[in-house]
Amino acid sequence: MLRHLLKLIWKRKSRNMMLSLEILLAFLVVFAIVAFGLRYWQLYQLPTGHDWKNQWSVSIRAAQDLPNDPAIYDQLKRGLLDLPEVESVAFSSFGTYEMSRWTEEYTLPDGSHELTIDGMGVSDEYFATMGMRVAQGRFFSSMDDNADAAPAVINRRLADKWFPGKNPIGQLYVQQTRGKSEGQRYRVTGVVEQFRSHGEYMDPVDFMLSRWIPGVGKEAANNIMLKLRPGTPRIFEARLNARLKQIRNDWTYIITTQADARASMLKTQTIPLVILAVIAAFLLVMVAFGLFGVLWQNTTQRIPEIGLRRALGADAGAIYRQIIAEQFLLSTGAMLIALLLLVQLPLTGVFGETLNWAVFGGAAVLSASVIYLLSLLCSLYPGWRAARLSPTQALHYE
Amino acid sequence: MFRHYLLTAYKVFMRRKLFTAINLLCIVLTLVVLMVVTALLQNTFYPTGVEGKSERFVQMIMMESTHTEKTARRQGTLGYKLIDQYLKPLKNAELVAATSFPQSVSIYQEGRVSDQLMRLTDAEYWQILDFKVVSGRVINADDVAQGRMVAVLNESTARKLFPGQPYLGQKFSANGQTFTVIGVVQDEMHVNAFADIWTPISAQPSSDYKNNLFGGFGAIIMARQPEDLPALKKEIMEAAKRVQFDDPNFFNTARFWGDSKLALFSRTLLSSRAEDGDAGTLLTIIVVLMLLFMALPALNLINLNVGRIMERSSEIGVRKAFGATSRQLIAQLVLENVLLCLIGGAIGLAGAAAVLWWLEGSGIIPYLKVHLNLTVFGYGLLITLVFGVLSGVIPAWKMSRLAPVHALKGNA
Amino acid sequence: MIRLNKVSKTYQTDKVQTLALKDIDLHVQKSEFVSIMGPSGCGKSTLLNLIGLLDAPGSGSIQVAGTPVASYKDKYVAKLRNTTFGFIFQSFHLINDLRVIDNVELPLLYRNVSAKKRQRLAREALEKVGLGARMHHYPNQLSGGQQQRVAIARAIVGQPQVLLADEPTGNLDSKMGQEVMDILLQLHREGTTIVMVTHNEQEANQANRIIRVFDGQLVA
Repeated sequence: MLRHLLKLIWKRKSRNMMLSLEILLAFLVVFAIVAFGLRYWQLYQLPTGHDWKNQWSVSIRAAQDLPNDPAIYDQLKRGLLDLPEVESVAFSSFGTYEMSRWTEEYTLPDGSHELTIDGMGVSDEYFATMGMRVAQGRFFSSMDDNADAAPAVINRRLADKWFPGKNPIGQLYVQQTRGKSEGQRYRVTGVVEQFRSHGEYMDPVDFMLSRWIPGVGKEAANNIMLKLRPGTPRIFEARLNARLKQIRNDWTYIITTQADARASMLKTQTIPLVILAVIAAFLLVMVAFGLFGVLWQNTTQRIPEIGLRRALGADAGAIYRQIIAEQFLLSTGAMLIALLLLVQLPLTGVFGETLNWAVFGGAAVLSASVIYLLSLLCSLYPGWRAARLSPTQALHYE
Repeated sequence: MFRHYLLTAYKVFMRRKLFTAINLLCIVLTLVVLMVVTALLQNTFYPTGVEGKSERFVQMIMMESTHTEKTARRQGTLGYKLIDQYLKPLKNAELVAATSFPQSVSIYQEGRVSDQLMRLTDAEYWQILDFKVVSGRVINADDVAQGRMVAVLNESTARKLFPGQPYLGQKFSANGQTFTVIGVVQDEMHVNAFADIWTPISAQPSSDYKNNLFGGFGAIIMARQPEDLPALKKEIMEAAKRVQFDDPNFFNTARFWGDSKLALFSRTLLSSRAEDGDAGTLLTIIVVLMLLFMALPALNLINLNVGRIMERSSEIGVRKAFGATSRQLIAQLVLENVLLCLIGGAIGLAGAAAVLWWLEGSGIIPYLKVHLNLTVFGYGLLITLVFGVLSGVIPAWKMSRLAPVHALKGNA
Repeated sequence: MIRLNKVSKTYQTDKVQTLALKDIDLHVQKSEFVSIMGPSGCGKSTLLNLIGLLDAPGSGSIQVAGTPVASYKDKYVAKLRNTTFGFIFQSFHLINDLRVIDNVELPLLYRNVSAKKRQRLAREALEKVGLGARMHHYPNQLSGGQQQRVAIARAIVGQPQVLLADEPTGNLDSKMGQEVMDILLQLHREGTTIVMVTHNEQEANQANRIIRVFDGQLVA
């Protein structure tokens, strides 16, 4: 029976072409969304490497660039720790769950294996404030004052890339300046499993946290990270702001709870997915209409053939099954072609880790189910109508 | 003849009601989406209401700084000094306004913290844009000169911060600064108008902003009449050449452009540095996307029409046998399709209005106000006709080529 | 072989009731070749449809191969049709999108026969009607007479007990028509029961017996 149906469909392929094209398009769109969604789900499962529940960030805005004055930072730190709700204070170049990002090129000391690394300058207290755990080595501290190279904590991914099989602790790497001057040297003091500053949906990247010391270097830290007592209410912000204004009145402080920043970032990142999903829903509805209409038309045109089959001994169930089976075969054909095109993507690695095999497989299965479901629903009514015809009616259909 | 075609069309539609219904639904859905998008775009690029004077002003949100001998390049928002020194003196400009971009501020009230969006503006801002003042007054030149800590709220924010109380004269703390409410305006959502709270540009913790060439501001530059706009735009580009940088070793060349709403979007989206912001390209892209969007439903319709025409092959054969030319047959079949599309378009228009009404109410885009005017209606009609012709021509042409003898026999 | 007992059939279209057949008593013996004749609209096609279980009688009973038709439920009747009868139609009713051999194997598809066996039986049937060379052609590449012979091959491929032919030569010229008749007569000689509806007096006479129908009733 299968072979028989395939022969039929193949002979009628030009008539079925447009329909197959529609199914192909729909499958591609559904695949894109499901893959997107699955990837996001995958990323969400990975750790970010830091806490957010009790953390608040203060972004300092001033009319001029902030001066790297150790006295001011000391004032800030002591003034803030004075507040009973504040458990820990740290400084960083920017906050987490923000769109800010800073990348630069680095190489091994001999100039080889250049990588673009995401970096953030943080003060010694940052790790305790953010609830981070070191996997190997230690976090930097005042122990590293007067070190020959700037201490840095890197993530596991970077350690494995540069120092596979070796102990990364104590290793050196260098900032790439393209020959203009001697680049800053860094020494690895510790490795963390993971650090993703943009939140749960961020693709894993190579990350380094370098030591920022108040008063050392030209760049000032623009961000204060706070760890607060659990259960601190939002209204604490007013007192916090007042205290900060006491220290420097001419600066503006943007205070954000990390919980809010996280929620807002997750929401922003899912917007493209939502838009795509809406478009896909529209397309699917269109395809469903098209499928239904064409199927019905086809069955109408094939009424004499159906009558014949009934005369030869096919019962109503057989006719029904035939219509649905033909539609399934058609959809399968279109989807196979689509998959053939799509499989090029993970094979050539165009999307890198974003479209890994797990995501591809999951998306293929889910999208296929959607299309099959659609095919089934759209062939139910026409199939039923076809099966209900009496043979005599069908044979003498005008 | 036309009446005959209409009658035939009606009979054909009624013969297979479910079919026609499916066709119609397909058309309506597509047209609703396209019309909603058109209305939104029309309202963005050619607004009425608060930014109604858009045909006689341009806006500038970015400037480009480069160095003739180095590779460094910076694209950033404008500093107040730039606006004050190089834009305010423009001869073709009647008014030049400076405004910051809406920024999130924390409002501290008794036991409550709210996050609102605040804009810093000068007095000219309120003269260029046409806000509807619900009570009190807006910021004037005197407020700006004195650096008064006053604020204008929109209705929603006023209601949110001071529920059930009189709004004027109320005080609130934003990021630690205390402001007094002097006016309430109607909610607005548009490129320059969108904000919850407006305060004078000079009511900041520090007055250092006046000295910066780079800052977080944008400019709105209004000409005396719409005909002056081209001259104004040219003058703006010329003004860029006169810019003196603080550190000429870093950057020594500036470029900026005064853009209409459409050019603003195209410049930002396409990262364009052309004089007109590649506005034409953006429009072309939009049209192409719309056509692509129509492609799938049109494919559907073509499929369905081909089948329906097969059913009528004997009728067509008869017409041909009695002397109808291919052209007449195509015209008839396309007309039937266009007719169906027009009906779909009418329903679609109503549907689009409903969707827009729902969109306004749902708050997905806050303070959204969309006006359905004749232009939108005109575009809608155009889209419908294009759709109808596109999906009718191919099946019609296919059928008209059939020799009468085959058509009469019912084969194809 | 086939026995009809007081069979009547009424058709209901819109508000009009048409009495197609009235009180038909009919007996067709095994290996008989019976012709049914009558003017247009007299109900002979309806009679053939009832015999072939394509339709159910309004009243009366039908017996096929000794057993009465117990129910007219679709599944039951479809099976009977498939195993007992072979149909030949005036307008051939071949599926144009299938090759000749695939057309002929159609009845076997509904009988769960393996693909290999189907193709073999189809080939044998085609050779029997003299069209073995045209196995892989499409119906629209054949003449009318050849198409009808393919239809006959399809009708006999399952080795049914009864062949029902509804005006088999109606769309053919006299020469092709006689070709078809020759095949039917050959099959009859081999023992197949045949019931044929026809207009043609000359062809009808080639059968064992003529049954005449007029206005829905048998005429002597």
